[in-house]
Amino acid sequence: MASITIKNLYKYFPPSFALQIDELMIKEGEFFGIIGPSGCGKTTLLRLITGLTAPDRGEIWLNGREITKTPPEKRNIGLIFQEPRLFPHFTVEENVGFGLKMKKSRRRDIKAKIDEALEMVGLTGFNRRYPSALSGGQKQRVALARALVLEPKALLMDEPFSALDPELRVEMRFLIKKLQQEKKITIIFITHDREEAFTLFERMAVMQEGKILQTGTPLHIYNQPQNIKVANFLGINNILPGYIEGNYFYTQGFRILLGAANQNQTAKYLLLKPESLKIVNGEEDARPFLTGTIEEITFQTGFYHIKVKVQSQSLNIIQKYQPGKNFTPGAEVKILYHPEEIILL
Amino acid sequence: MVSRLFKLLIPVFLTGMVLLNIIPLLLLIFLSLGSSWMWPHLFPGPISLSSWKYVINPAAGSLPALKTSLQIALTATLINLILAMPAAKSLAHYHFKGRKACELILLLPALIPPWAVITGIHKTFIYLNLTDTMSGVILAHLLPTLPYMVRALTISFASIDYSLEEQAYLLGGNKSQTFFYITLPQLLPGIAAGSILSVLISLSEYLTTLIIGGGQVLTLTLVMFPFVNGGNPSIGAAYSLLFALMALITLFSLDTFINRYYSENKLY
Amino acid sequence: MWPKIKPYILILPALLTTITLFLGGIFGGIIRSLSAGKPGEISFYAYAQIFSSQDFWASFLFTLRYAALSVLIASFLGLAIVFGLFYVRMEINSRLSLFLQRLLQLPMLFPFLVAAYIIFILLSPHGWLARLLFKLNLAGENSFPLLVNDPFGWGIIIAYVFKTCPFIILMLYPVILKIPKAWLEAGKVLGISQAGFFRKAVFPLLIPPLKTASFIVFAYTFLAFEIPYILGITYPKAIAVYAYQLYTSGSLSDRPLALAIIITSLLLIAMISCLVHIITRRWGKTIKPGGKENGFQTV
Repeated sequence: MASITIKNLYKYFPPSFALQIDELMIKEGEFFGIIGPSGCGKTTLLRLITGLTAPDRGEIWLNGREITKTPPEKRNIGLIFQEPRLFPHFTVEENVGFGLKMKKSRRRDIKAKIDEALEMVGLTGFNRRYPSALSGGQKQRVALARALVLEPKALLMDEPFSALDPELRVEMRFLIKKLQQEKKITIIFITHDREEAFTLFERMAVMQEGKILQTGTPLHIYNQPQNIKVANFLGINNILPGYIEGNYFYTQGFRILLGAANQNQTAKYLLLKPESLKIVNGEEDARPFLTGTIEEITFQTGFYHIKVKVQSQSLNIIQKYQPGKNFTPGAEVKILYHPEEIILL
Repeated sequence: MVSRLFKLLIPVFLTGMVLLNIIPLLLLIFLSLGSSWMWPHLFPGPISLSSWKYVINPAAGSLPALKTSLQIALTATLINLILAMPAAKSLAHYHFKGRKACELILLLPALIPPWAVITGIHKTFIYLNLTDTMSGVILAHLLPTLPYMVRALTISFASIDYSLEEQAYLLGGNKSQTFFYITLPQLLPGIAAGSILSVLISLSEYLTTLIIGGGQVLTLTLVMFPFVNGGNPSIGAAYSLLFALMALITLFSLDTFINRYYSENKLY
Repeated sequence: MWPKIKPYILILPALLTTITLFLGGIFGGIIRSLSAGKPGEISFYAYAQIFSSQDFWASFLFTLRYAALSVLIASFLGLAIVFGLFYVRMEINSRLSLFLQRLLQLPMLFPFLVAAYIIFILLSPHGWLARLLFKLNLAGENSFPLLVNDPFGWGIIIAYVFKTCPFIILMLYPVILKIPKAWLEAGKVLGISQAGFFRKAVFPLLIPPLKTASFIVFAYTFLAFEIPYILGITYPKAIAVYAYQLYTSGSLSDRPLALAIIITSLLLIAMISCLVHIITRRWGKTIKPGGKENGFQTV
């Protein structure tokens, strides 16, 4: 039973952008992600689901009811933007209680619900503050409480944490994940940050130029991207063009041994995940290898990001830092790879 | 050397200008409190409240005139608000053919003293039985005041943050709730500015009121005119101050009313 | 269809009101000014009459002189004050600058007739200034110059400057508020004095609102009634006084004459304004009606 179903949704923006989604189903209680580069139509999709933008054609269903023509205020779908959009002339509790007040809930219920929502987001006692007296993270928490207090049928989030400091961003991700698991809220979350995608999403859709390229769990998509755009967007950045002959994939200047499972004879590209490659200098290993020259090394929290030139092409390698093991630019190295971890497209 | 002289001159100049604005006010106060102002005394003779007593005296008719002035000014301002609100929204938010021309027509009346225009439709006012009535005067007062209201509200509408309206819809607010709780509070500074200008201009109007009111609708400016035009200087001063006081109190209460409204119509 | 006509519907009530009162007034005035002859016939008699009348031209020149001088003086004074306020804001205290600006707005509380009255009690031959100079032995009882009800119109000019200068400051001051302190500091690093900075960087920004403000003031003063009525003389009369007295003289046959004077004055104001606008176009950006920084600034 899908909570949100989208069928043949189409929206055209002159002069040249169109959003077209043939089918998308989001299950009830699911943490669903939409990932794609900026300008790919992610935000438009959310605006269509909430009703802030009307589609040219197509249908949107919510819990078995078509809502394509329902005005936004009647849909009870929460939407959190990148900026908190708090009402500056209302206090925190007035902001959080706004939706309940509009529904004319009973005053006592409102008060209790506000306090409960503020507690959920960790802002107990902030009731009387004005938004101007809050930090960026606190404002976004108020926005979250304001949406949650209405017990929305779905909560949509449009890059909600991208304006926050890195540490705060991690904290907020943790908070939203916890709330989602406790409350079983259906969430559609937009991001262009794949780290965020892998941390949060149960399932996700990769979007580009107004279309969904692939849907699935983050790991499934990472392991079996349907095309090089998806692969590239998820960080698989060693994409080698070439052809298969026998047990080998031939690319410019060198060849790569294929595993038993990889016998897709028509493949035009071979993809190597950066973390599946390993640089060894000297130690013996039975695995197949390539030889190349180190071009560039950067160090990022426990990992080396290394660029190695193999013939005319560059390969990106992510390798765990080990004390005593150093790499120097210009050094000639051996790169090991796993034939079973190769992706052919 | 030059810049040092400059630094000295600027405060002197500004102080002088401020004094030129304050001295007349002080002089009016002294004058209204004196019984006689004999040459060559700088300040009038023994302190006396006789001018004020005359002004307040029911026989002088200043209190009813004051009431009439306020009634006209506030009614005209209310009508202005009702007319200008949609017009300002239209000017600030829509790009339509003839927008510039519409704006020009709406603002143009501010350029010309209203009496000069009113003479042209005086006959129509007579024909519609609007002369010698307060409604006629109110209608005539719309002419010089509406442009200022339109202008103030257009600026206000142009600076509204529409993402907040969107947010209110998402939280389940319908159109009227959203306007009332989210849009209106953002418009209040503009409403206050437009109302203050509208009230001030209407209160100050003289000749238009005289032509359309035909001397039957007596506002404070009409009642005080003979006194400031060569009449008893002391009574003229008292009237001038009464006018300034009325204007100040009206503006002040308008301001507090709007602020109160603002805070009372919060959510709970 | 609805979204297309919505802006027109919204603007219609205000527009109709203005068209009825304002354009109706002007067209009504034109029609009545042309109705001096037999009923139902167009007659240019009233215009012929005023164009050949020496009284009219004397009034017109007198009015033009005091209106133009008032605007010039008020504009220069307003600019000087705004420069002073700018200096105070940048070098001393921005709150003090705002406070002074508010104080200088004081005359806006008074109607025109009270402004006229204030000038009268200050500057009449036995007014406060005459007494002050007499006490200081700077003037005799009868040697104080005639400044009100004088043939040149000095009293009128001073009263208009007193009343309209605050309006000009009100229109210019917001520009000052928008200039960040960092600009001036950058200027100082480059060795530019405050005065130089004001002239080069601030003055050009002030030109468009100054032009709008002085245009409004000029057009308004030209036909305003109270001040010249109280502070003027019997000959030549200000246009407003001349027209109004003809209008109410009792004889209805004079009314087309009064309206012809008003219509002629409106045309002449429009022509003069266009002329001045064309001449001064090079000074700054052209006035865009309705532009945020140009239109009527509010409090």
